[in-house]
Amino acid sequence: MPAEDDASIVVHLDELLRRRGMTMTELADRIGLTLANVSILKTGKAKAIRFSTLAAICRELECQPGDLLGYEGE
Amino acid sequence: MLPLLVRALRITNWLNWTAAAILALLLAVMIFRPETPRDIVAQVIASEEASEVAIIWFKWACVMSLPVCIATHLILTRVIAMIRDTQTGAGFSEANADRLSVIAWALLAINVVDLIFGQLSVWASTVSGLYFGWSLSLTGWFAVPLLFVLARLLREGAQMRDDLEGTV
Repeated sequence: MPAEDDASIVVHLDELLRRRGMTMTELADRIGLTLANVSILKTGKAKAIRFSTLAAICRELECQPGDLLGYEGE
Repeated sequence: MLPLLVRALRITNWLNWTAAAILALLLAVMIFRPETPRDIVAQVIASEEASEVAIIWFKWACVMSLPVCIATHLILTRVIAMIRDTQTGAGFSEANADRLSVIAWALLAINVVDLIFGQLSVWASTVSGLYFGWSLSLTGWFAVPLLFVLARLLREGAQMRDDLEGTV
């Protein structure tokens, strides 16, 4: 099922924010996303992420997409 | 504009049920007091056989009006619900796709009943020599597949919207 496949992708946004000493509100302002959407991404409730959002997060947190996203198998 | 349309549709539905009630009443009179309509028709149509055919035709017309009334009710109530959803910004939903499908089925039912009614009218005209007006209309038959396609499109659109809502 696609929903289960989505559930196995983990988002390490919390960890990256802590490492950069940045708050969610600050990141949301910098990448032009609403705080609600950043929260959806952080809690792993997002169904999909746009390349433009991914690029903006990587730019602001100085990381690679692989640092932000991970895959947790069974 | 939309609230006015909702009100107009509600009035139309009320008229729809009023007409159905009147026709049901006439049908009851024709069944339980057949002499009354027979006397009235006899004043207009001289031939006894033609009068009999006219009464049979009208009886069946009354019977057929009931499924049409139900189908019309389904169409009107679904359109009202869709307008309400549109007003609240939730027009693109699976519920509305289902409603559009119901409208398509209801319209199909009306078209089928119309076709049967047409056959009845042709039979009545042939037997009695009187003209029981009916003509085939293709508009409804074109509208049915169009509505089914639109319902499918709306369903896909609603699913895409759901996906977009989870996209950041």
